Amino acid sequence: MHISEGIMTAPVLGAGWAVTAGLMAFSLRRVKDSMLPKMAVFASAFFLASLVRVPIGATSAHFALLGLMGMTLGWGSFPAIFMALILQALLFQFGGLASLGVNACIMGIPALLAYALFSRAVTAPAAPAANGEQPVTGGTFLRLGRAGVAAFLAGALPIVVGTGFIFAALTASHAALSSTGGLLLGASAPLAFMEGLVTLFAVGFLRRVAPDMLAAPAALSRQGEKHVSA
Amino acid sequence: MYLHERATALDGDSAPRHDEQGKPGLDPRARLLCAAGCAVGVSLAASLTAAALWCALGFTALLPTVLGQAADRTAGRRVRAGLLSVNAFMLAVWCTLPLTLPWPEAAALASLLTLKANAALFFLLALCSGLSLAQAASALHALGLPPTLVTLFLLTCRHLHDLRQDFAVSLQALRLRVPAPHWRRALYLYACLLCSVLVRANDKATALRMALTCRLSRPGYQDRHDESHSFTSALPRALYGRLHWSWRETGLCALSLLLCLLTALNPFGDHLAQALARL
Repeated sequence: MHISEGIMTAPVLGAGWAVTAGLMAFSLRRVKDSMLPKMAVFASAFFLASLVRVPIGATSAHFALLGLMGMTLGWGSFPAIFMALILQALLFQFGGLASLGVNACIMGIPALLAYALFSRAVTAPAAPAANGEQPVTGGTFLRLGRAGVAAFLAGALPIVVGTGFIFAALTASHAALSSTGGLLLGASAPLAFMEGLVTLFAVGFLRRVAPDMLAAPAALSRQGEKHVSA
Repeated sequence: MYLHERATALDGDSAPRHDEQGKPGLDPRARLLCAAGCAVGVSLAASLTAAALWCALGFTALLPTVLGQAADRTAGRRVRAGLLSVNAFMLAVWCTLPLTLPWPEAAALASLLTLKANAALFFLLALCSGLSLAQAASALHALGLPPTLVTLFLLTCRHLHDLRQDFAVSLQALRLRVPAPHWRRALYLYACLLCSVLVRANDKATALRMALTCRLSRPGYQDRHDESHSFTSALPRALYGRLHWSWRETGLCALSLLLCLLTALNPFGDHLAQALARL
């Protein structure tokens, strides 16, 4: 889900780097040292997920895991994705160095968006059953309820938004590339659906096994200071 | 394995001017700066002539690297994978551009983008393919990247090999137990497998972090609130290696800057496009 080097023009690359620098400074101020190991693990997972193809029926796919990174790392997802992209550029020469800013925006901003929009619903406690005894059992959607819907959207939306950013970057560089961007946007629908399902199942697993790995939503303290714990 | 070698090739104490084959190498900062500079120069190319010249220059720069690593299958695989990924996207561009432009203009723009994309890849392969992870970390640290990001880079490299191995073993075990699951079940199993590997890796990473922050002189564990014992300073200084900058590196960076300026000014016009138009 990144654009190769040499396609985008210099103004688009400059704008990408400007936005990346701003978001990086903003994110790093909210990252504690204690978060670095978890960020490193998920950055490695993001790097490896782009290399591992999972057989699904007659075909195979590799997942971006943007929603999952946003749900687990919170503000730390942007630096983690940036690091993984640097590693891809240096180890496998995927993407590039000049286009790193734009690619970080394409993948990092949707992850942050997923965290900002859906983290509260995903980390909300499970609703009790109508009789007030046990939580609803059954399939993941039924069991998670609103959290399940939020987890699905947290996985699917970043793919659509990221592909939209690709469309915007390509069209801003060369207007004629709108057809290429449109093709990618159309092809993102089935990928977004599968990514949504994977994120839903992953969040369901983490809520049962390791709920502390899900990032807490940003909250305002009584003194009016914003602090994030993840 | 390639990733294993990369993850453990921490050559902070070895002679910094020599690459992994023991041959004299460029300072890694110069390699990164030149690669970035050439990428910018390629993006500034607006004419077919300039793009073709950059492509030829990149190919010339790549040749010694490819010939020097001819016996290395991993290097050959890396070059092929890079070329495949770039040109697969360019194929999509060639197929979709005629939908928005008349064929001669679509072909001209597609040719320009193909030359530029391949030129950028050639320079990246030529300058960055032999870089070890420790050299890359040293260079990023010396170039001013925040210490938090450099630490994140090193920790990511540290966990990459273990995570890849754990994931491969778990995926293999899953395939043996459930050879051909329905697609929805495959997604569910993949998600659970991935999360179980991540939970284990997170526990290991937390233990590693506690080990790194432990001070022998002051038993106990410090966290970020104690600024005198920040976590990022716990990594050994030798890891950052010794970097040597000489006139060769200065000349190379100056050359890439000059080429960028010439590309931006484009004083020679687009002779190649004029020649093709006459044909």
